Amino acid sequence: MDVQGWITLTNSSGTPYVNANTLLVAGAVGEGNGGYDPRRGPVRQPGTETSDRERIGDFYLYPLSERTTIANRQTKQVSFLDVHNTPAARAYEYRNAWLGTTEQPQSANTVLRFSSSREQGLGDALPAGTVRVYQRDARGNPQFVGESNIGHTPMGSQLGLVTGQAFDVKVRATVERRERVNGERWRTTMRYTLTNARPQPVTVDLLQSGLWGDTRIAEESMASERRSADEALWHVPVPANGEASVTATFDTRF
Amino acid sequence: MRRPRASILGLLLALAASPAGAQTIVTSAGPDEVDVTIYRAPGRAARTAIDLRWLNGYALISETRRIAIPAGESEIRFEGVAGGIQPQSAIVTGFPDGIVERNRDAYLLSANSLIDRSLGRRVHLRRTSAATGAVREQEAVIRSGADGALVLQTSEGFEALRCTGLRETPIFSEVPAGLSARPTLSVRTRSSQAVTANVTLSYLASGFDWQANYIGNLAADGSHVDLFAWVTLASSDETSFRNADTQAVAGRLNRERVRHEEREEDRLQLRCWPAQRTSDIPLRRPEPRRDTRRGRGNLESFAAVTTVSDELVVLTGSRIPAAETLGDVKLYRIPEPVTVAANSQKQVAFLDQPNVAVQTVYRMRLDPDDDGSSYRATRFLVTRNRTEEGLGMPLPAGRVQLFTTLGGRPILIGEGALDDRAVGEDVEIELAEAPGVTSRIEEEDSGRDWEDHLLTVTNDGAAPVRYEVEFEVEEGDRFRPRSRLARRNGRPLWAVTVPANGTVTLRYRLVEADD
Repeated sequence: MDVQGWITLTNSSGTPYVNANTLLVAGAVGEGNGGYDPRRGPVRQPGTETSDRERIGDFYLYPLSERTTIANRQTKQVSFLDVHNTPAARAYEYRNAWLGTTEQPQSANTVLRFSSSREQGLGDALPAGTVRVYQRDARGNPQFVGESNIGHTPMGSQLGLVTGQAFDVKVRATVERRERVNGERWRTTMRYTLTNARPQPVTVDLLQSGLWGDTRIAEESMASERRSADEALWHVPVPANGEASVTATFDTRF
Repeated sequence: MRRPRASILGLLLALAASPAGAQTIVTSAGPDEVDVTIYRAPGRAARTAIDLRWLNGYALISETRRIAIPAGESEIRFEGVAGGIQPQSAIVTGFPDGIVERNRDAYLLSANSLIDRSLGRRVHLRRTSAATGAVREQEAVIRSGADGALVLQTSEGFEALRCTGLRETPIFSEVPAGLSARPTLSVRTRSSQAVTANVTLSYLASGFDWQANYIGNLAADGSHVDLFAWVTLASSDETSFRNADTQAVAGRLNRERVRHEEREEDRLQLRCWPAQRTSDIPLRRPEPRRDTRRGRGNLESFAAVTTVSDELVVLTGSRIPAAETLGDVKLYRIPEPVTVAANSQKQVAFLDQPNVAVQTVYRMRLDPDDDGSSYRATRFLVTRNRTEEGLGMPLPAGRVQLFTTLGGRPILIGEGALDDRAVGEDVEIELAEAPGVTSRIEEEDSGRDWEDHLLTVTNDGAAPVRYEVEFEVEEGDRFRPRSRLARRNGRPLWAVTVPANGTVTLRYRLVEADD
């Protein structure tokens, strides 16, 4: 993957700034909300590396290398990152809500995974913005294949950007059976059918969320990974032009 | 006092003439080659047609331009880009020594911007005497921007345009540098020598959309359908792309909300000091209504059509070849270069599959406890997207119209929609309610915690029909049919053939939950 970074600045102040020495600060000053970010963001693991860029307090600085004129009502863009051949991988994810039955098969999310680390990634801290992904078509022309916002991302982070949904990789989730065991517990059997119309095998990260604390998985057709109290994860290999299915029985309080 | 003032003015003019030092401006009027890829509106359902008044999809536009780059620092202006350009998304390659920065000015040539950019410059003022009709021209200097009034300095002093009651208009001898009549993106580059380079520019632009439309012709016996489909492309952009290699992408891609830099308004508003008596002036003057739509001009008007023409350009001779896989989405290529014209639509055939094997199924979902009500079934057309059935190709979402031929002419018998369907998937199209296939549940007997029910399905047609019902059993209740049933979507499914002008029945017991 080749990555270009551009800073966009917009002047709608009503005045042009001629031949200005310009410095951009990445970070939100005075907008603290206790650091709470309710979104399931693209950063899968925050990084612990320090970028070589100049910092002030907790913010990175992006000075423009030379003086520039910022006209009124102008959108200006300046490059700040240009990395070639950084490793990246495509992955598929599908998250099913508790007791979710999909009447029609739903497309799995397409996820682009990469790192911002020095050793095997972009090697820079990333200011918040939009990542747009392009891929070459059969004739070699780059085509747009989705975008995703990222927050201010420290160097060394693992990122997983949801860029879109796969046309050819779909998941169908069904509540097969739901029985009351006694006054306290329920047993719910789920079936997940995964289909792949691509000529290559794929692996789908299938997540069942909404498990809360004391839900146990009584039976399952393949071993799951309990990512958190709330979520179980199966890495499901789906053969080329084929399908796979997973069944699981949950023992719940609700 | 007059002399020093004049020299200051002279200095100001000299500065304005070359705003960025010794920078050469090179203008490229339009692309030599252009490639347009249209993406559907992200949230639009398969059932919803394109909204021609508000195209919510977007396009990736890739242009190649041959540009003579001078030595030293220069500004290269790309004129004729799409008006809906999202400048954040622009990628420019091909400059031998790279680029310093790229800019997009929201200012286009308009009455407002002409005045703003001419601040402090000399214009000619043409005045017509109301008494004699004599036309007089005099020199004036623009002293204020276009915000509400235009203040001019003449040899007679300062005055506001059209506030004296005279008929007058300013005449500009030239358009200020850097003001284009067409949407423009510019880059600042530095080159060690003068070269001619092939530069490519690609960007995303809003104001495009496309859709697929399927037309099926059902055979008399209902066993197969001749399927035909169109792709309709639409653009509400003000820029036309001539001889463009054109593609459409099917699949859902993530888009983030973009901040759209609105174009500067074209309308020039002149507000003069009221000439009435103070008693004529209302206490609170209403704010003048500002028309936020584009294309409304007061002093000068720019024709801008915001809705797309209903007229279709149909390409009958060509056919889109099979879809290409592009990452996780599908790409449809229009086989020959076409003109993606401003504010227009275009249609190309992309599928013609005769003899697709189909089944007609009457389906419904019932609450097994719903006694006494009677429900009509819904007619579905069902097939599988495989070569065995006569399909086996990615099907982009779109509306489906089903016809049958009666007495030599086609009759519309159903209308539905299809989501994106990959190869191998089931294709089920909901077409119409069928008044002749009805279901009714009666309670036959009951006990302390159970009820026995009878479901009766009737068919008034002269042919047997395939009927499927899914029972939506309440959580905790037990559903005990007299005969063994299959399951679908986690629900009990009764699939049966109802004979011609006949009736079928199912008996079942419902046992209520313990508490």
